Amino acid sequence: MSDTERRIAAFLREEADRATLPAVIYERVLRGTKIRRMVMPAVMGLGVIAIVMAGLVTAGALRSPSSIRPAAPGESPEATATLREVDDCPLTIPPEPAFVPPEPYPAEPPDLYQRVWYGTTALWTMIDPEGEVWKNLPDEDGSFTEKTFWWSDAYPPSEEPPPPITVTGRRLDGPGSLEAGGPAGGGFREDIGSFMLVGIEIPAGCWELTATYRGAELSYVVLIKD
Amino acid sequence: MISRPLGATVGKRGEQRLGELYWRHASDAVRLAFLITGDQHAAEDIVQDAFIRLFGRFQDLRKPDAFETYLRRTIVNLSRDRFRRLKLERDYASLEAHTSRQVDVASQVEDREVIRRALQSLPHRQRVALVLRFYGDLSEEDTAEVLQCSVAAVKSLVSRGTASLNERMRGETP
Repeated sequence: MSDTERRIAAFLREEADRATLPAVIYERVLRGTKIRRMVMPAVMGLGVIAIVMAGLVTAGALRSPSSIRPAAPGESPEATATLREVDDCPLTIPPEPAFVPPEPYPAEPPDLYQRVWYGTTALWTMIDPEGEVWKNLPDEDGSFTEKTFWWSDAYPPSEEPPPPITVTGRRLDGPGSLEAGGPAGGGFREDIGSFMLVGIEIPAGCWELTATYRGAELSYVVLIKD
Repeated sequence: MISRPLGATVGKRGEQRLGELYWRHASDAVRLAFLITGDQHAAEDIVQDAFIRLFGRFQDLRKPDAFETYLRRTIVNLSRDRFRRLKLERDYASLEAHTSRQVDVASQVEDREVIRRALQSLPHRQRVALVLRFYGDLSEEDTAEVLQCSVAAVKSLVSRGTASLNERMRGETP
């Protein structure tokens, strides 16, 4: 092994120790696997032509006014949302039909996420249609950490690194508030497009999270479990 | 709607089997993804997607015993897709220019930082080949299987990658 190769090997061994594996990834893997197993066999069995046809039909159905509609201009998503009490926490339940973001974003988040869009074109996110309950989050000094994802039609990824989005929290089952400490980030995935990413540290409890971006504001209630 | 009954298709025994595979390989997987991408969040996403893809078609794998090889290959492919996508993004040019500038002034920083940036500036397949050979301790044959190329191609990738790193490190180290 040459000197260069030895230096590379030593560097890689040390560098690898910087990588961490949050426990929440396992839960996401299991959930994603279950969904994929339900969806994929049906699709694979139909063959390529059927996939194309299903895509066309699905796209049409998803855009059908009877199943989904865009939020009306100026309509507050919070005003049309309902709530569901879980452990005395009034979780935000998104309205039906759910919000449809503008192109090129998908009409619904991919099944993998088990979420629906919630918000307006000015600011939206994805939440569980039965309410957000977070558990098995990475734990740091008594607080849990989680990434929150936000989208906006006004977000220009190449011009805003980092995007000027803020996320704050108000505890509903006791005193407490939070504010995202670090700067927001941006990201892109083929299945959900360009998004803004805000990491938060949040203790267990019932919280109302509020994101603010370019004058638009969006809130939802989430329950954090130990 | 999207809400579906969980647990409908993965029985307890199946979940236990997947859990064993996950906990046996996940740490190494996230390290591999991190070394290839240089980004913790990207590594998490790639590992998550890789396991979902493999678990979703686990029964269809031709050689389930070769799970580790499938996993490495999936991570490499997903990181390649991410690399290509980044390359297409509008701000990539400025990012690359930024990286180059950082490498240019690397003589002022530590050796580790020089190697890190030099490694990240390599073409994707060269970087992956170096990580698999020098971190994963994979043989040239196993590296070729993960990269789905010939052993000669692996030798070439490692040789060119090492030479490129050597050149950069010699030029940038204080």
